Amino acid sequence: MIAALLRRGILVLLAGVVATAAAHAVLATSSPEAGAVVSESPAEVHLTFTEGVEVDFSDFWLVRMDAADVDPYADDAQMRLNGRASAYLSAYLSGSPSGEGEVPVEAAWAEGTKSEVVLSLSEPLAPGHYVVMWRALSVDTHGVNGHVVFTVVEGE
Amino acid sequence: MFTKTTGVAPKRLAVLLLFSLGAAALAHVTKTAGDGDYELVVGFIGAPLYVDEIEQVELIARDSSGEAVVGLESSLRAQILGPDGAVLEVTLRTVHGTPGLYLADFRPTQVGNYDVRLYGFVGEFEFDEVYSGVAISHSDPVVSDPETISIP
Repeated sequence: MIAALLRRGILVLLAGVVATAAAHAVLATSSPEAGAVVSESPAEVHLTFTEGVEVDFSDFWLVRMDAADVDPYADDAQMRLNGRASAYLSAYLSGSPSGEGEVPVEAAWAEGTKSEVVLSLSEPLAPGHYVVMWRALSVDTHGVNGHVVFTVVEGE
Repeated sequence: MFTKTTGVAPKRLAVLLLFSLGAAALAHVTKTAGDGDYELVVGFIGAPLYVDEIEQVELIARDSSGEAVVGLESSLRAQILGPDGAVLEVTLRTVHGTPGLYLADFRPTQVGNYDVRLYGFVGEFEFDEVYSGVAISHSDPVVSDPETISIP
């Protein structure tokens, strides 16, 4: 009897976990978009999530990656850059980033929505490969993380 | 007598559980990227595998200090290499709450051996390796006929 109740309790708990796992905030779009090559520095980075995030309880980082050897126009550029980005994201999430290449940003909600976060840049970005990373708390109280890479090239 | 029986059973269960966990952990193969900078561990969840069941490949990624490596879903790709040259590109997805763990689903449709190819980039290193299905499942063939375990 007790075993049956425990089993039922575990099933209910698992069902709850599965249901909430499907509802986490994930990145829907960004500007610059993932993999973009832009010829001038954006003044802001916009991240739009599938649901709201709590900016005050979230971390956002922008880092110029050590990846000068990657040709942004190569067929495998995005996989290469995302490979580099995985090392940065892992370091930041584990609390052991080198800090090298980090660009200070200020995060705020876009007007009228908690789903879009605007990162204001403290200075124009020099040409290079950049990764935007986050460890965000979604409004459903679940933690999510992710990254987007983009490249700034010399304007013509 | 009754007390003794109920006291032994949990112990026996615990030993069996530990044994099965150990066996499951052994049914994985580790390969490294860079000069041992990263470890990429691949296995099948739920081995042995059977025809027409939805099976899962799991990837566990960690660095040389044992820390989870996250974000690889956009820099690594996986393929299931089936019998007769069949190739299926599968999508690696992250598992919420378990950093460094990635899963991919596939459904084998015939008895035979299936390998896993993992390729792309980890950190600054290019990676392209085939994991032998026989090695990671400890089973030959990797995928069996469910009729062999079916009962009316």
